Amino acid sequence: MTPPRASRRTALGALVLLPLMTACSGRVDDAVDRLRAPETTPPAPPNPDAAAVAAVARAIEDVRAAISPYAGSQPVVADLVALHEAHLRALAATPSPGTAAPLDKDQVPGQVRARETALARRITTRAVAAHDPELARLLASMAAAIGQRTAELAG
Amino acid sequence: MSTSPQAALRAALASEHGAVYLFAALRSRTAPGALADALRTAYDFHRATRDLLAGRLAELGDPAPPGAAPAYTLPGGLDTAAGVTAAALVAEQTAAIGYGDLVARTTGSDRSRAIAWLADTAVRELSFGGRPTTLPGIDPK
Repeated sequence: MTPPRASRRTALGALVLLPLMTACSGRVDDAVDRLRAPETTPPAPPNPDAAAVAAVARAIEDVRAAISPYAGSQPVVADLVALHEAHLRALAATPSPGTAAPLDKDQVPGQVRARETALARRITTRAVAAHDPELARLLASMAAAIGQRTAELAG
Repeated sequence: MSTSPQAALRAALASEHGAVYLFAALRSRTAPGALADALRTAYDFHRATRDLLAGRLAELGDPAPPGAAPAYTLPGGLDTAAGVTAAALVAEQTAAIGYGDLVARTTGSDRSRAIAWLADTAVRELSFGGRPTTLPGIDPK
């Protein structure tokens, strides 16, 4: 008994198509895998300077919060407040009110100078240790900018 | 950063030779007074920095650190105190940018020194009529 013609054609077609489909399905799987590749890519290594940037931003915010109430007392203090805000923007720091350690009203210039000098020292320490050369340059410049104002405050 | 720390130190030394020459020339054109004192402070600073850089390069075994040129081109307008002051300010601003480069291209004690030089120079700019800036030592261009 010979099989009906259509059935034989179907059988032959299946013999040809099956490996082809299998091969195609392998390619499709590969393509899907490639599309999914980003999910399996290992995460980027953490920024080794992230903690330093966060610490500097916190220190700046704290000093800014402490001196802001006295911005009207001397132009240089207002200038320092504006400077700290500019530096926080340069660091792309998320805005935060900072923790204000209040100043003694009777000794504002001296205390502002002391806080700013300590802040510049902290920033300098971070600049020395920074992994990213451009961050080092930025932090060094920020410390120098504070030094310019504290020199005015002293003068 | 493409240049090595030693190349950055060499570039800084070459700049210091020029700064020493310039401030000596500016001093020689200035009568005693506040400007002359500020120029003297700047001259002493750059001379000391030049010597430190030369010493550091010797420590690193540099066989031929850059020497001073026989002469440097001076800016114009040095016949008035205002011209001298302006030239001194430009020189200090240029030096500050150089120290910023040195900060970025070095590490450890070399970077520490460059940070201190940048801070000192930014303050000295004020004695030549400079105004405090947001980021001294960073070229705005």
